[in-house]
Amino acid sequence: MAVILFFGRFSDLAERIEVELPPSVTDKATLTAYLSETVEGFAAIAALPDTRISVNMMVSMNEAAVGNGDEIAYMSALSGG
Amino acid sequence: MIRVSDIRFDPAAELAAFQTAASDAGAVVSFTGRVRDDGATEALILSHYAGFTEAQIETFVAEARKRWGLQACTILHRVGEMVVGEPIVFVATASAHRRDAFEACDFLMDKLKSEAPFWKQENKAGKRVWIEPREQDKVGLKRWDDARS
Repeated sequence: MAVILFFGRFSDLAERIEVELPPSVTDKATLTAYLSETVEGFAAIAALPDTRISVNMMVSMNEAAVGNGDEIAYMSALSGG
Repeated sequence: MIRVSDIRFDPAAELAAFQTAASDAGAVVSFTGRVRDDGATEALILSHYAGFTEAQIETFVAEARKRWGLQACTILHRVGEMVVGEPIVFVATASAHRRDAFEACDFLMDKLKSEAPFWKQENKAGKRVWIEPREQDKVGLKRWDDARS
């Protein structure tokens, strides 16, 4: 089971979901593709500029591995201060 | 000190406490960002990623300490709902001489505006609207990279 957290515009879809990821999901790209298929409205927000992902509270590179047991956060463009 | 909280803070009291704690510093600079009155915004709503946001801000402070001779630094950031006039962010820096304190405070605000994991919505006429980062904020941040190269 992976925990997916949604921040910014992503939080319009949900704040948090827990999901059993299939073996085909191994990295950021395959996770994003999987969520685009299974979460309505996700693909449009994921395509916006400046979207970021963290895995277990570490800023994620594209090739970062993801899987069950991880906490993965999807963040739309930041706007603090 | 870094604090992210949904509780309103008093910038004057925070500055007084900071000055007391940094009593041996020759220069103290502070910045307070507040919810501005644009005639339409009823409230500002900020959210963050608890734990991750604070950790990211820690990296900004560590970078500031490497670049400038900081003796002390405090960052307070609000989350939750704020009305016009309420403080959103408070940054205070202390150093031996003024230039380090000024530049570090400016740098930290640029980092908070563009790279800190916060998300902002405005409540206008009862409707929440997401606020996108402004291009000038990115330009503000880039000048620190330019200064280093």
